[in-house]
Amino acid sequence: MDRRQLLWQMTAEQFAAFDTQLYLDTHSHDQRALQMFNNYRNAYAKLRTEFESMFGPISSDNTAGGSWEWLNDPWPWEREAN
Amino acid sequence: MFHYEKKLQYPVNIANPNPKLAKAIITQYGGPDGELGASLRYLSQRYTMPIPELKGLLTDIGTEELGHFEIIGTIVYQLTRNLSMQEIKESGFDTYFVDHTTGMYTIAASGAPYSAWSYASKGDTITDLNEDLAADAAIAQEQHLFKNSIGFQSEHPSCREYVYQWIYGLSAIRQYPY
Repeated sequence: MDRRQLLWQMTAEQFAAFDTQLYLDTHSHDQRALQMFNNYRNAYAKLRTEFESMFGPISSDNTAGGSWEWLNDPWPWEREAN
Repeated sequence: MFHYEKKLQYPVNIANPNPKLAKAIITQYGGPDGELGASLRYLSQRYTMPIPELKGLLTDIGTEELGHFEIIGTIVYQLTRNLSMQEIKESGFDTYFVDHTTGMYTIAASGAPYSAWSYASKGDTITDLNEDLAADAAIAQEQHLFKNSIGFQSEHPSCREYVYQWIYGLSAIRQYPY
């Protein structure tokens, strides 16, 4: 997968997880929703690991690359990052 | 506290700058029904909410709105790249440009700077939730307006998607427990 495709899929899983999170905030006993949330989160986590291994960290606390790489271009408001 | 992830909640990649459109869209950045106001409203109201469901919901939605604030900033930024002086003058973007060039500033389309007058946070649960419903209705109307009337559809299909997702995302706030 290229950067754009990977970003798109990662973003989509996180978006779905977040929408489920909002539902769970007002329906915290809904076990089915909780399962959905966990599934989306796990899918996101996998894709994020893959994305970061190929394109660098997306948060400052990921220093697995051994340097302060999260500073590197592109930044999210730039077309190259999307 | 807040944690930042270096990506947008929804990707923005605009091929064709358009300062005229930027003049209108900036109102979703720093205008009365824009994303900054939305995030300040929810993040301010959450302190005095009496039940965890509402503390969580307002925290989560307020945080999400900051992500939307970032998306709008990105849209305006990309719409105002590489402009000629002629484009700036003819589009009417000159009135923003003189004060900010192509820097981002929290302002409404009218030119009024962002003001906290645009939201209410009264410390009373029902009052605050009614404020949220009214705010949501105003925001949804404004975003429908962008989608249907401000030339989004025919001129900028990539922008259209961003408007849709805000509308769909906002429907989550309608799940308030009364």
